[in-house]
Amino acid sequence: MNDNKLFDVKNLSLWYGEHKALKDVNMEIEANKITAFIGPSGCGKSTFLRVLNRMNDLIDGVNIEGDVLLNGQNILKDVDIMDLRREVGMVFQKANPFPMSIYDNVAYGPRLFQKYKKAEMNEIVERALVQASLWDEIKDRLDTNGMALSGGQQQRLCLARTLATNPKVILMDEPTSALDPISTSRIEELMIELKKEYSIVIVTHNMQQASRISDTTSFFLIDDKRCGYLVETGDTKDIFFKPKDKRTEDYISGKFG
Amino acid sequence: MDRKKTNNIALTLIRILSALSIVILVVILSYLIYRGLRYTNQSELEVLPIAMVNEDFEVYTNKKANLDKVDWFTLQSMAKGRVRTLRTISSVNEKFNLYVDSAVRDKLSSYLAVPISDDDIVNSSSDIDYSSDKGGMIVISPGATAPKNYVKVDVYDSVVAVNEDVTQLLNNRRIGSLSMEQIEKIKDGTFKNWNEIGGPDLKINFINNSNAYNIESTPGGVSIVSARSYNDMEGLDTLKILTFEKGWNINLDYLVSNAQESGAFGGIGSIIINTFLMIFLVLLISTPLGVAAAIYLSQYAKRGKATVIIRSGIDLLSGIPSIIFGLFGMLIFVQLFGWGFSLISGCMTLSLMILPTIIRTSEESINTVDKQMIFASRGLGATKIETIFKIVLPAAKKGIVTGVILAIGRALGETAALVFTIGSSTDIASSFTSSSRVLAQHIYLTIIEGQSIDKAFASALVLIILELIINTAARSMIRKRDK
Repeated sequence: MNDNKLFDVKNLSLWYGEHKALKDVNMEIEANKITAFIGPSGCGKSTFLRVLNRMNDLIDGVNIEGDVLLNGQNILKDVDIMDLRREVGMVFQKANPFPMSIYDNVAYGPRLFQKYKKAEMNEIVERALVQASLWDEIKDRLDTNGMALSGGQQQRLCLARTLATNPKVILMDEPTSALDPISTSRIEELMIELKKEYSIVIVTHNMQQASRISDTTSFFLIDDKRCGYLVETGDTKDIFFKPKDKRTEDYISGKFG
Repeated sequence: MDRKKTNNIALTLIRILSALSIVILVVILSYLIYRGLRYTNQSELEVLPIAMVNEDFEVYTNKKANLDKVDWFTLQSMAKGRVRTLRTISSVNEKFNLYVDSAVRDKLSSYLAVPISDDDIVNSSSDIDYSSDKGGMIVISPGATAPKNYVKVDVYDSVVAVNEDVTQLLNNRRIGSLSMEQIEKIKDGTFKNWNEIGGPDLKINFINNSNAYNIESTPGGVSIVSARSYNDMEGLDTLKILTFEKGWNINLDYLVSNAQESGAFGGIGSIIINTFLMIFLVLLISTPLGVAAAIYLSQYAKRGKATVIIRSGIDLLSGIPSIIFGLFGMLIFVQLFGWGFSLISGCMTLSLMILPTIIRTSEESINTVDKQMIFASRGLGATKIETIFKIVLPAAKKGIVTGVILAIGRALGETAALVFTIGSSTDIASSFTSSSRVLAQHIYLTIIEGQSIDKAFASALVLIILELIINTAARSMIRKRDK
């Protein structure tokens, strides 16, 4: 038994309407580590990520069975979704800043939950932007529109926006897939920096990225009924260099996928 | 056929057609603007527009009467007491008083061939104050007096008298009027026969003034005689004189003063104000309803049979002719709700009419909001309604405003939906339930009741300018949104 356990997922299955998209996922996710989900397209790794802060609720016809415990509390049943999403923030594949100023983008989350004084809010915004290593670049133009930033800056702004609500966990759904290599490496450095304070779960298509930054890797596959399942979870080094499962070895060595 | 040739032919054809459509549009627009700005009155006068030569008396009036000429027949009617308002004479909706200086009583009486009533006689016309603002005044006095602030009025008293055989109906044609040019050509002998100018096949016999009494016995006879002599003669006809009068249709006075006689006289000040009231009310009613429905349809409604039916119902409603909304409004708002022909009945009808447009454009605009932004907001812990008000509506704002403005443009040009609902009072609406009229409907009523095409065109120009402003606003919004 692991004391550092953050999420404990038990027998999770998920349906989109009639179609079963995930079956029998059992997984533990540890705190203050970077956990990477890898696997071929359509294997349900992004869907599974969205289970962790219940973003699937926004999609019509999603049914979930099983238990997902966050610090012992079942987030599929007795939890306030708004508070859950504040604790488990999310960064999306495509940078999606709001069409408002940089400052308002970052302040959006905190403002939802309580009223802050101007000075307090300034502090929160500055801290979040510093953590996202964006502060030095934009501190003189906080009132420019967030949409006017470059792609990499926009994604870091989205990260800052998530950090501003002071979450415990940050979910990242292929956060660098639309970015150039330099922006990607900045985000990767940032993630390694952030795992001291936050737990990070990342979905990635990029195997090198998973091996570079993650501590734990989970490998998902898809069966012939187009239903995703978890093959194995383990230390990233083990998964990449001595995988237990033949399918993992084949995928990592590039035999399919 | 050669492909290059086909291409050239098609290109030429397209160029011709597009040029044609542009020409048609330009012609229509410039005609509307021209008719709105200028009026050309073609009128048939009883008398020749030649001022009388008479040294016995002069006719004066004050500025308020807006009169600078009067014909002999009208003057006679005035003296008889049959005409006592200026409306038919100078388009001023005022009564007038006739003052006849006692010194010219007998001369005037013999000139007009009627006795002058004692009521109209004043002893000394030189004492009259023409600056008095009480109403119109027409003063007939010896010419020697030089009153202040007066306007001199010309009296036209020559008529074109013809033998009865000239005006007989022949093959469904009949000569009734002549232009001044034609009269000149009759005088100098260019025209020899009446059939050259639309009359019967009859020789033109122009008779000199001194022998005017011979007209009756001369076939095809025509002469220019004084109205007084024509009045005494029997068995004669007159030909009317065609004249063209030009002037400005729209001026500041027209824009600010109130309409009279269903738009035939006066301006459109009150109607412009009513139109703005209507726009305001329609905005107030239809925008919240339409946007709320659009939010529901795009964000809340489950995709199913019910929403499909609702959507096609909305599409159907937006295609229904406005007269049917008018009928509905009459039955529901005017009769069932008992609001009568009133501003609120009309505005409710218009709001219902443009509601489908607002719902559809708003829904479309809301649907184009990036889903990723909605996910981001929800991911930060915002509720659905917080996301709608903080993210979705601000992002869709320009599209919604554009749709609303276009819908208002449609409401502004609406007549049929208002005919049975809003009433027709030309006063400024004092309450929701008071009858009122708005610009587009005013144009209709001006033609139907007021019978003034010039005034209708003037109102039309004002309406076109309003629509233009609204459309330009909408277009600049669209342009900003696309940036």
